[in-house]
Amino acid sequence: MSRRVALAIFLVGMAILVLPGFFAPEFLTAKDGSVQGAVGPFAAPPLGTDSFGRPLLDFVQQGSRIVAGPSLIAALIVMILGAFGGLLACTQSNRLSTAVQVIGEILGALPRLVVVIVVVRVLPEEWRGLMPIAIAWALLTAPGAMDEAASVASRLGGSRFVEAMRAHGFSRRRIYLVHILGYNLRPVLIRQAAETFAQVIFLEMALSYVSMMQTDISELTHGSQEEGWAGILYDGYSYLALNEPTGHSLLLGLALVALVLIVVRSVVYAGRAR
Amino acid sequence: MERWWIRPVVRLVLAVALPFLVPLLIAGMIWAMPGDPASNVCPDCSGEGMLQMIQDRNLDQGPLHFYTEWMSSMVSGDFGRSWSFQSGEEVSYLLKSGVGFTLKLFLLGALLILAGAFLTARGWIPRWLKSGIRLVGLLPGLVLSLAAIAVYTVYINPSAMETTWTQVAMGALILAIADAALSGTIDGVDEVIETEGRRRYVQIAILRGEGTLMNILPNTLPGLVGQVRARMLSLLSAAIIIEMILKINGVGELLVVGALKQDFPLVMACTFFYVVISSMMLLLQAVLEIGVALFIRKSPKGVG
Repeated sequence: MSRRVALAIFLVGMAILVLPGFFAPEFLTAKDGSVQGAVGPFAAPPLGTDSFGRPLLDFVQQGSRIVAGPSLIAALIVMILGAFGGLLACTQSNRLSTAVQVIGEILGALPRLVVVIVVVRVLPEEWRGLMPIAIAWALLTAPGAMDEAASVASRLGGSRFVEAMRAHGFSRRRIYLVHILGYNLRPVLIRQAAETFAQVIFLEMALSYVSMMQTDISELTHGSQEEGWAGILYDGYSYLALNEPTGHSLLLGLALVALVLIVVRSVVYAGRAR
Repeated sequence: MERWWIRPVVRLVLAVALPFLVPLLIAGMIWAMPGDPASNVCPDCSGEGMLQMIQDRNLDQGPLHFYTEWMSSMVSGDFGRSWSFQSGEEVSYLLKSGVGFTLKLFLLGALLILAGAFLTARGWIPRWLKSGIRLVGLLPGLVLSLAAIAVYTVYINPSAMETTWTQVAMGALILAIADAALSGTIDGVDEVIETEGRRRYVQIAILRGEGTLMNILPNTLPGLVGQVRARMLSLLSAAIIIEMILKINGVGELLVVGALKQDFPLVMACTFFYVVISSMMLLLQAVLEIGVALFIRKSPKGVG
């Protein structure tokens, strides 16, 4: 597969993941107690309904709106901090490098999900949502990305590489932006960012699922009037455990998970080194 | 000589400081919330009851007092009493019931990861199996857990409320395989061995009839341990979600429910448990790094 094909798959996949969020309804249709069960996509196009008669398309759209922004911002944070870590390894600023190492060690030593759960809980009600979770997750993931980028830059030669390129007449800006970031750190940064993107989406699904299992606690990642992609899986689980007619929900949930994975793999492939 | 000691020393200091720092941070966060902590924790309380509650829970003299009181009790094994999850119940009792399951889950998962690293280092994992592990490893823990709990509910033990060994074993397997934990370890070990194996000293050792692994181990051990520690830390986080979905009554479940119900003594105790595990891993890595640097790399008979 060529890199262009991978890039095309990535763009199409991202469009499918992100665009529905722009058309998401403000609130989900209320649960209809009189509904006898879920209806498949042929009887209620395009995606069928859940066990309470609510269209799954609404779930997909709302889920998209919930995850798109925070996961992209988390990916961007990891990419920027990773780039910073890589570029730092190409300079001779030992003190800054040591300070970054220390901060990285502190953040890297904390169990991420524990910190995220605690941070989210102490936030004021109006700030709660996926965004602070995504930012906290990105900040805790970043030391790993910075380490890997720094190790790639060190293998390249670090500050000696910059000096050598300067001796060849290249400007500093070109060396840092094109040769180091563009040619050498790009694969690492794209992979780390893509993985963080997927992690935030799966984290949202997992936390929402957990909240749904505990009926007496509020949602961690979105408002009570919204349902994310975890709602689709939650509905689909009844097919596996209780043999209810929600197989289409399960397939849709798994398809969304697969789509996220395809997007990640394709962008990593498209961004790989020549 | 590079300043090799910075990271190990930072890790040593952190390993000692983290169990004291993190509860302090949580105490600070309770006071950083908008409004006063007492009304946040108990919005319906008022009058005498409120005053009594504030004193009982050490909320009357600021975060430092709350922290020092919690710490001094904790040292004697008393983690306080639950505020809201099981109001009045001793947190140490709740924690005791969960620690066993979480440790079993985590240690079994970690054992699988370590076995994967060892077998890869020995070259005993066939290529087809690696591909299979990589493929399954793409799936998130949530999906595998849902499949596992469905199988468990339908075919194995649909009525039991108690956590069983089967649940723990299923959870550990998912913990090791999902989210590329095992495949990442295998790839990481493979990469380290392949890169180091190309170096001249290893090639000469092979010509002398010596094994590759024993020659590269002193140089690669700190890196490998670092990789494995990062994986273990991810396992700790993933275990929380897996515990919740597989209905394993562990510390992760206590933490999530405690956090959602603003039961801060429970949250602090659970967090402390996770931080202690993280600190122990940090300590192990630091000691290994220092040991390798001082006794192997600098020894006249050592490598490098």
